[in-house]
Amino acid sequence: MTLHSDTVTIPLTAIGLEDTAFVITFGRSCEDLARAIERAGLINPPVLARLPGQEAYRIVCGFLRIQALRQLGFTDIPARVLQPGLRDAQILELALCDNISHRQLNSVEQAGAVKRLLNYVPETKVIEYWLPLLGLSPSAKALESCLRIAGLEQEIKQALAAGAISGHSAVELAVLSAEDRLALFRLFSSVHLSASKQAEIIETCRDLALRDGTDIQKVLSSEEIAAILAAPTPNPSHKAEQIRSFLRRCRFPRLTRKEELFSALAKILPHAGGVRLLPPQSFEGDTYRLEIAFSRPETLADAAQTVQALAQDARLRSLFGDGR
Amino acid sequence: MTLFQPEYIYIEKEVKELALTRQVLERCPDAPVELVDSAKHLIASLQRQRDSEVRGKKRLLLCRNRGRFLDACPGTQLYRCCGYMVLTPGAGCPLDCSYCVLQAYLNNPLITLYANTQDMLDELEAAPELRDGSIKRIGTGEFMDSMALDHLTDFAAALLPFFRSRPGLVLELKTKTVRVEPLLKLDHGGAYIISWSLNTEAVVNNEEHGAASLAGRIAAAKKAVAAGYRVGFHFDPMIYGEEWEKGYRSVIELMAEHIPAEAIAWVSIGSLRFMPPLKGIAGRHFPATRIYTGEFVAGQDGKMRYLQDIRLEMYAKMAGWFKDLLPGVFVYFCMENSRSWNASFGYFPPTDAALKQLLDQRIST
Repeated sequence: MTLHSDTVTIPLTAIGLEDTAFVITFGRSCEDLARAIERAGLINPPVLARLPGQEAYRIVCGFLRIQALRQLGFTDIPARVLQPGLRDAQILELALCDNISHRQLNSVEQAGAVKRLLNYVPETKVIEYWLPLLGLSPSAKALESCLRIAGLEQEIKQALAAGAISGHSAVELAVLSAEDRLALFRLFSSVHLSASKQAEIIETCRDLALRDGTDIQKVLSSEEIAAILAAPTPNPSHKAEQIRSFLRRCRFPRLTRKEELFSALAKILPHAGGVRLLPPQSFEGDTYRLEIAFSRPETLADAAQTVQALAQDARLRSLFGDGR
Repeated sequence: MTLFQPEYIYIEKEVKELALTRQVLERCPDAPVELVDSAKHLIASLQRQRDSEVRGKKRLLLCRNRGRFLDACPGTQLYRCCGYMVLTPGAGCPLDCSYCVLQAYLNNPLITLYANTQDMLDELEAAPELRDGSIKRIGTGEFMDSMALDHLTDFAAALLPFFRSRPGLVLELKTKTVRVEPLLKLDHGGAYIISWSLNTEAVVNNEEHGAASLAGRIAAAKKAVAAGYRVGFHFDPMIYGEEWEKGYRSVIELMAEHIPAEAIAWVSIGSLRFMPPLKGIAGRHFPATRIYTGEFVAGQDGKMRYLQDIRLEMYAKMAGWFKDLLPGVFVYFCMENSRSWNASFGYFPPTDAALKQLLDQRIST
């Protein structure tokens, strides 16, 4: 596979700007590139493939550069043209190699590349040869993730490319129904959630929908969530925490009730002198811990008195009532 | 239930002439066979394929086990364990239970039989821990169903001479199948205990795909008892869901109706527990299952368990039903803590050795 070495001038009107068969780029703007070209000129001419028997061309490499040149008012552009007779599979490989030789593709670009490669290349070769070239692990799981991302709605892909949702979340959203997926996506767009919290909310909503025989859309349309989202305050990050907390209460009613009871009890138990009672993690087992903070021997003595009072407090025994 | 017949058989070249390989091929005359140089390389290449393409539990691998066949049960110091030993003639199971830990534990998608059976017998003969005459409970149901492939392997018959020759050793055949006829003919001399994993009718029907019906299991146990076997039952994993009380009580009533208490060596109880990755894997294999939507929290060993209050609720009920319906039957917990033991049974074996002793006594009585 070789290129004509000479650069030729091609009128923009002869280039199929709508033909995205070999376009790898997704979610990138040509603004910065246009400014760079304006300042330094076009350093690397785009690569085009001529349509057989026509004075028309398809873009192979340089989709953004051509957009930038167009924006700058060029009517003719310098370009290199592939030798005739290349198959689409070869052209796609060339376009991919050009892109991965100088930048890391984002998740949507990787996914789009994998999906298109599968039109021409056996799955095992995509996994073993192309996934590592694209910066992914050579595994069936990575391939499946790519295919899931490739099937997402455009708005979700945009959010993924922009970093507003994580790759993990995108893959998890992809297995849901379109209605459920978009309901979650709208939530993620309206409140601020880290990648791990997005994953937690997806899992919680899926569990709730499955447990209660409903769907995620209905889980998220609860009055409580609607009220949190509609309230003028607090800020989106705090709203996100309120929604997480609400969903957790729905998902773990007995655990959260137990936490609330413990918290209420801890408040009324003797707790002066830097003494703090801590439950076993998730109330698993029956070993409670006491934390004592002190800065001077006298405050430790105060704490010792508090511990003694705590040990004799009948209310403390209620914690162990079901296990002894 | 139908007996497993593989749709495709891989054979590692070095075991193609071994007796078990020849026997399996005779019993599966219609299955296409592929010889492979290395089971390890085959498994590695299958791991690179999509799950949907390699899953299905229809492919069998016959290969050499290059590791140990006999090992201690992988318990944990944080929960009370019973000193069980595990014998591994293969790995993977044709039954398809949504809660099965092997989905996450095994990296081999094939149902695998180790064809070097003689090596297994030699290892048992040479094992120093099996020579001191003390009671040892050994099971083949850890990485597979003990009986689901026996129509191909005859392992139960093949292992009997060794177990009969060593007083104190007991092999537990743990299963969800009902093909007991070949066992009924064996002169087992008390060396075998046949155990059935039991669950509610709803769990059997919805979560234990390919396994025998609940009534079928009890009927099979009844036949085994009539043939002089002692039997065991394992309520593990118990699943907390709609009408769980009615479901589990019905199972115990069914047991009480058909199985005399004195024929029951032991009953174990354990609630659903799993390493966190299993939930995602099982969710892909069984998207409709609701068993992972319970209130699970991370246990002291990193496994997810029902909130302790829920476990205590289930265990207390189970302990009460056994006391009422099958008094005298020895019931114990698999992998539980002191709080669960004390709340349900009023005592806690102070050490793993103490629990082992309690179970060993069930063999000697």
